[in-house]
Amino acid sequence: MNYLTSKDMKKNKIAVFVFGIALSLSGWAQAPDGFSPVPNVAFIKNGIQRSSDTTVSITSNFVQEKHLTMMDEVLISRGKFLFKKENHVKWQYTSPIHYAIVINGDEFTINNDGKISRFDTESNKLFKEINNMIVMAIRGDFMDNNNFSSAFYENNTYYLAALTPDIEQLKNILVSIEIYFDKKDFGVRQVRFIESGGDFTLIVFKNRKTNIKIPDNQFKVEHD
Amino acid sequence: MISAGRIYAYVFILLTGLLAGCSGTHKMTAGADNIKVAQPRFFGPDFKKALYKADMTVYGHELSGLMLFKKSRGLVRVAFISEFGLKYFDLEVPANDTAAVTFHYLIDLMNRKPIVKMLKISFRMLFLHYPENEKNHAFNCHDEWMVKVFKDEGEKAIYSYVQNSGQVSSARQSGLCKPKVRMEAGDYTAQYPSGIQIWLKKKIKIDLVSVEE
Repeated sequence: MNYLTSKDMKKNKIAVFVFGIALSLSGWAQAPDGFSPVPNVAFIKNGIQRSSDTTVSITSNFVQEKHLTMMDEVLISRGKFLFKKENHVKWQYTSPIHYAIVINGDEFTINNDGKISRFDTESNKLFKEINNMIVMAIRGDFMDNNNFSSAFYENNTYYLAALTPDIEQLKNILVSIEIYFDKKDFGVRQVRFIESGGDFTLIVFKNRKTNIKIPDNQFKVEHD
Repeated sequence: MISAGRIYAYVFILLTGLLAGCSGTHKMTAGADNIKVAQPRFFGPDFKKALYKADMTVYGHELSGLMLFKKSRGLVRVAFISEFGLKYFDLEVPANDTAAVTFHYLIDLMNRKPIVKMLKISFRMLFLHYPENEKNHAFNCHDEWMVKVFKDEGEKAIYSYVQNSGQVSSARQSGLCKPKVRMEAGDYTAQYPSGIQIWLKKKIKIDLVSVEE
């Protein structure tokens, strides 16, 4: 924020700073609403790890809610998600805009309403970090990730892994990531990306199916 | 050798001069034959909210996503977010015409002095955020077309718009030799245009197409 340190940003920065501290302290000191700390963390870690190890593919519809708290707005997007081990991911947005992004290893391809672009994730570090976070959250394989500190909670339906970034590059983007695992099968049902200032993105997976065969051509981007 | 941009600027200055010869006035409330003359605007007085598919090129980097405009208590808040929900920027055009456009958030990638400056100018232009003063003047041009010039703090913004609705078709802020900002809008719904294009010094381009939520 080098160039927004003048008057117009000063008050906001202080407010964001204070809010950020309050948010991190509250997250650290107490469980999220409706959740309580998990007594047996090892059990959950094993369950998540087992689920991640045995999941070779995922197909799911998704609803993405972008909560803009200061604007009192929620923007809702919908689409289909595909994942295939090791690192093949497709996000196909169908509403309100047509947009698809496909990640094949270190290469990602975007179909922006018919305009196709190809990039190398190395050439876009920010995107790479975001993609890593999303894939990590969906697969639930964050156990060995040194970029985050984790805490575990539960309610009747979900186990909740709350991840706090430990490295500066990620801290600039997010305050925390909340991953909600179904208690029945340790599958990821929701992911919430919380930004400084209180805005957050909630992705809810619906009609989720695992380990069904997904042809490779599903990860090719073509004109609609 | 004279660049194409400079020739374009000269032509524009010449055209503006010719337009000035149409029928200039400092305060126009009615045109010829008492036809009601509206104030220029991209967004109508009853505008509350608009959502656009947004494609932005910033110094060669392509960003895309959704841009939300929301008006509340006279001020307009603008948020640009990626398809994934990552926020690129969040800014405010204040209700008070003399107050500056302010950023509430700007992603580090875009937090560069020239980018901040150009974005502030373009959103100021988009919401015609200029105080009314005696330097502003309007020209009644051919048929139903009007041109209005706003001058404030060394900036000069020129809008071409439809006389009775105020709907702006194009606008530009010109420097001495080359234009700083150029805008085009069209396909108006009742309160806002369905398409908006903004060019900033050939460094930044913003393309907006309205979408239904």
